[in-house]
Amino acid sequence: MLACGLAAALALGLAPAAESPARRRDAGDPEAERLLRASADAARRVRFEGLQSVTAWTGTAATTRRVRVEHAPGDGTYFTPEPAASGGAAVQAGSRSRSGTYEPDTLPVWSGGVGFTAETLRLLVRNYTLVRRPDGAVCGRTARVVEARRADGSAAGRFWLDAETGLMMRRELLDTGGRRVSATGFTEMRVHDAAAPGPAAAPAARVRAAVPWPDRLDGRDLAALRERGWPVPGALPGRLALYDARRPATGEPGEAVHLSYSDGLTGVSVFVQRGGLDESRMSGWRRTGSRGRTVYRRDALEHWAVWSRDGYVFTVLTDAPGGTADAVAAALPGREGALRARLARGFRRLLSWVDPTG
Amino acid sequence: MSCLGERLTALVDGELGHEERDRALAHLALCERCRSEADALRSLKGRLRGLGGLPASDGADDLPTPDFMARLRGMGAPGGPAAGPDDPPPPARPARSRVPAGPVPVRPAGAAPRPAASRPRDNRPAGRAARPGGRGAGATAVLYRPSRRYLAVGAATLVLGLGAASYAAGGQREIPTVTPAFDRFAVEHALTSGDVPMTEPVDDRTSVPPAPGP
Repeated sequence: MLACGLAAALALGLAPAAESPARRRDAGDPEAERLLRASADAARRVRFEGLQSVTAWTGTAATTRRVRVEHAPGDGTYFTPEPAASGGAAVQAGSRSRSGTYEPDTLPVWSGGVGFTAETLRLLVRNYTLVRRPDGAVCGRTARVVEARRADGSAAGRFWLDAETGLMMRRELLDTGGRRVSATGFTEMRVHDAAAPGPAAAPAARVRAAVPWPDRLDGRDLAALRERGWPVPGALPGRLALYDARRPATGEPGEAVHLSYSDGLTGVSVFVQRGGLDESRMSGWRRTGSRGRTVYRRDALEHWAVWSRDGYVFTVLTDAPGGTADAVAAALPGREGALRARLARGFRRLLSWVDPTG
Repeated sequence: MSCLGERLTALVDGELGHEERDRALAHLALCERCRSEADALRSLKGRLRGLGGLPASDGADDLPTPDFMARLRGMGAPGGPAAGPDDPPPPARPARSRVPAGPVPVRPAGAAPRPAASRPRDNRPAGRAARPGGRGAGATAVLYRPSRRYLAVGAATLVLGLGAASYAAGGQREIPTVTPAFDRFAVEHALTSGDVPMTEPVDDRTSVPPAPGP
């Protein structure tokens, strides 16, 4: 399992490249980078609506979810799950709930809904070579195509950007064989005048505002967590760099930290909670083993891996193929980190025993 | 501590007068403690002599620099080569030359004896370290060696003991069991990675039409 995971991670191009990032960047096309940066601005400026699909391939099987998206500049983006088509259609949708989600434009993290943010763009430029490809078409609209290439020149991802508005319309991830492993983008899209009335959003009672955990951790906070024994690696195998860390607002039950990693194309979230995993609640999950511990796996559109170790519960969530989740599970926490955490924990306990005020 | 005080070192160095030397020897015949201390001092003196007479090895690179050797030899003698910044530099000595053992500095007869083990090793040049009439730095350096060993062993024992205790105390106590909030985690992941923040579980796998190419 571990070998398969590492092999899959390598197949996605997550292994360190021999060529330096600076050299790869020099070989890239500045216009390609400019187009990607402009898409972040367009996602806030342009009023649009459409049907967006997210598809993940595993071998010949694929899983797809469709969501209706409406964006109003200055307000936010409304996401409504699209029901499955009738008559045995080929698409399985998130039809269990019709409640929508609202993402305000004021969020500190930009999304646009196609798996791309300003932070991941920074990592993309650092880790891949960006080049222009011949223009394509998405939803009947002309699109500029940008390709992210690995150090060996193979394509790792492609982006379709609307020629008229600059919006990112589609994103694909490719393995080393050139096969698509995931795709996110619009299958229908209409662009409106920015001054036109806003989208007819669902009734307020059925729309939940989606906001990330408010307490964003800086370097000092992360150092304090590590000092307390929390496993917070700055990077994970495959050039996955930590670019965001958050925890819930004070007062919320449980103690958890959300660590966001990316190499620019693949996003990996690691949730760390103090405690032991309640395995009785993991029915329906697939049990696997890694480094002598039980890892619960679940693969659908997103890939999950859950395990507990050394007093912490780890939950990995990624849109990359399952091999990435396995590779992360094998790397967390390191043996050295576990020993150091136990020694630090014991030393603190000893101090508390001798400290009369503790 | 010797009953003879500084006279014992003077006796070993042959600096006592004839009459005083006889009295000191008579005391040694009766006092076992002073006798053993005199033996220790003679042994120390012999070792210092031996230091000066060490033969050089075949490779010149195996030896410290001549200046370092000269300073090392001078530590045993007050006012030696490294006596002070104002003193003239020591003459260079050939590597194989034998160095006569310098006189072991003596304490004045009325000086209060100092416990050897209560001071840290003195690495200062002899001219600075040895106060007038004080004991030479070379002598103290050798005398304190056992104490440094004890210190190192003690420190190592402390570190190992503390580490073992921390490891034992750091074992997991009863920890609460938790169930990850998967729906909330999915939204969190989507918001920070730029995906659609939807939480509906997807269980089935179906075929989908091919997506458009570039």
